[in-house]
Amino acid sequence: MKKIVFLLITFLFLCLLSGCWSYSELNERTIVAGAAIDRLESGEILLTAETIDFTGGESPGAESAILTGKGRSIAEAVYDITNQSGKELYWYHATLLILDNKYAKEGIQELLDFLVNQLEMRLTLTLAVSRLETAAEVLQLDAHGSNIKSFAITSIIQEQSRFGKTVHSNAYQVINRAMEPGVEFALAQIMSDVTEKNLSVDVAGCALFRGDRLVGWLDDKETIMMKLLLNSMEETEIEFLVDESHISVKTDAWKVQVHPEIEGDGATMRIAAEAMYEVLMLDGNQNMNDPDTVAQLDTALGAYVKECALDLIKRLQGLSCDALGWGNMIWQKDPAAYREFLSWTDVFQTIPVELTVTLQNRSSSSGMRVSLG
Amino acid sequence: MYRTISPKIACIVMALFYMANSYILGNDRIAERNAWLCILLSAIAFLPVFFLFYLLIKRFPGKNLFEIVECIFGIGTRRVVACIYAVYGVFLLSMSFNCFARFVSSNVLPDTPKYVMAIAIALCAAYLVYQGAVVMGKWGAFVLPVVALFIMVSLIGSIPSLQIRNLFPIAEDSRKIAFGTYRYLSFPFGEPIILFSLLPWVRGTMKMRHWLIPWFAAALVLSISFARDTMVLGGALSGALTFSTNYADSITGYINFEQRTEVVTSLIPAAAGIMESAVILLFISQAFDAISGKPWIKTGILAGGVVALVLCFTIYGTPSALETRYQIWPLISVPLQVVIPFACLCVASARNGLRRKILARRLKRQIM
Repeated sequence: MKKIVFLLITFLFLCLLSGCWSYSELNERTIVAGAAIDRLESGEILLTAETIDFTGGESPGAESAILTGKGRSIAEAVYDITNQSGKELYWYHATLLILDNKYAKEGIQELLDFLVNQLEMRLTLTLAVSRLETAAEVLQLDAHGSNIKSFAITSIIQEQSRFGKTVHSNAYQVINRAMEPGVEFALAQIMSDVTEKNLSVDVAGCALFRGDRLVGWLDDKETIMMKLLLNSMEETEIEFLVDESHISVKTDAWKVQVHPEIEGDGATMRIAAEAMYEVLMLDGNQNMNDPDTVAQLDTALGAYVKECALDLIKRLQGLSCDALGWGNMIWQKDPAAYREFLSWTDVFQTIPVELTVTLQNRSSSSGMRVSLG
Repeated sequence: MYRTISPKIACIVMALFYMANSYILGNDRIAERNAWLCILLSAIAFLPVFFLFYLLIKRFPGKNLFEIVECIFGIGTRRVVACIYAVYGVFLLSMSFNCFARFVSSNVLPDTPKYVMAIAIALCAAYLVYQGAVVMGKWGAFVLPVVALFIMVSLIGSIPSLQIRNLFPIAEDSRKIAFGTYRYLSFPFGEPIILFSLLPWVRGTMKMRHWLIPWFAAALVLSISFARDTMVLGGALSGALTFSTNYADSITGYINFEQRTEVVTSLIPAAAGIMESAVILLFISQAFDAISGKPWIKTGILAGGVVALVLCFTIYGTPSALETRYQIWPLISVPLQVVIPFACLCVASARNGLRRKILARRLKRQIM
């Protein structure tokens, strides 16, 4: 009896070992690499999915295939593609989701809900906003000659984000920021660039959101400043002018400390930024071995960074978009005081900022001049 | 052949019981981002209960809960108490079946119907109980290192994605922390009273450390796991998701690994679930014995298992139904962990004191 029971249980587990109840073969699924979402004039959503085609052709390797579907919601658009292709969409390998700027302006709440609730959707999807006429156009651009454009664009976003020129926002980070009080989010901005052969992908700057709606754009320089103030970047290159001399420096070891101070109905943000720098290139007659010149450069660079940072803050205040998460800092520090603000957005628009920037030259010897001719 | 288990093996079974529950089923996020803190606080708050258990089993070594009740209150009370705990055990078992089946179906084998998983776990658990505590101990000793490895790999894999800033408690959440601590006192599904069912098979004495080590190990695992979820996903998102652990795993890329090795990983939660279900089923069968006064182990296993399976797909049919019952559960569970053992200890101590007084009087009379 014991043996029979043991055998029965063993066979039961053999069934589970396969792990394939209602399984579907690879050729019965459409593997999605990325997708673009557009809002049509009719109000419908157009979902353009870049899928990986293994059927092959003349060239070996995977090819990209574009499938489109329409619907009143994202889910309907997905079903529409499934109906057309006769295959289930497989999202586990998808890396990129590009949003049309018109769609983003209307709000992406529905999309965020869909990402959380749809089991197959990946929370690691990189979200980006297209600056082109439509989001689908991005998937037609050249992306470093790569066959699968979504993968290539995701890599470009990651790389540009490392240099601070854009932001790399995963779906889960966006959802968390959208849910937290006193903080807004930004997504990578995708544009096109004219090259010798054709139009190619250009990732620079970011799209700013308030709530779930797109409210503005930042260029790459502003994005660098934003990332510095967010303390999410350790090094960056800065170009500026001193006495009409063009100077390029590499800054690193950034430490930005943000201290919110709550005073009555308002608050003041005290920010102290410190970094080291080394000169990469200068086209004037400065002698970098002279301590006075170095001190002058320290001051000029600090003033330049401060000016850029204050410009960015003003711009964010103008857009009422607290992408720096200052409201969240105040909420974490003193939730009762945060709740007393009638509207954090209004407070943010006029919040006074005290910013000090200290930059120190790492080594004056790096400022060696290269004499030509 | 040994018919008993050592306190060390009992410890392993307990640890697996708590750890499996806490890691897979501990998804009650009432305190949202501070859930990790609540777990630690509630684990500490439960210490007096373990002291109570320790005193009780020291006074009645080798007896299960119903035998202890019978020794103190008599057969009638034993039957009433057994009825209460039988119902409690069946509800707990059905919740356990549902959660394990849901976990496996929704994360590892998405298209597999839940009832297949639940029935498989029920059959294996029944087999373990039928074979007795020794086989359960062996199963525990085999499975615990695998489960521990599974948990460790997923935690280590998430280190690069950790954002420590997300973890800091927010002052306005103090009420939530207090309420969450109370909710976790029932330690979602980590019901220590159930473990009285193992005691008749334990060779030697169960010391205080044998109760505490598995409990704190499990509390630590759950706390670290929740803290990891909060650091990876962020305070707001981790607090909003049911089974946030699986989402955090998917962020760290562990799920991709899991998909590739689903043959192994689908068995791990199931293996832990089998142990948990077996311990509860053993408790139910002991309750049936206590009601009938006869060794009804087969009937107990069959009836308890079948009713729990039916309840698993009826009253806990939907996640929202399960969520509703999560809210009621601590109200039932916490008193059942404490009230009857406390009453037993108080009455036993009082009787002992009375007996001593009577003996002292008699001795006095004889001397005089």
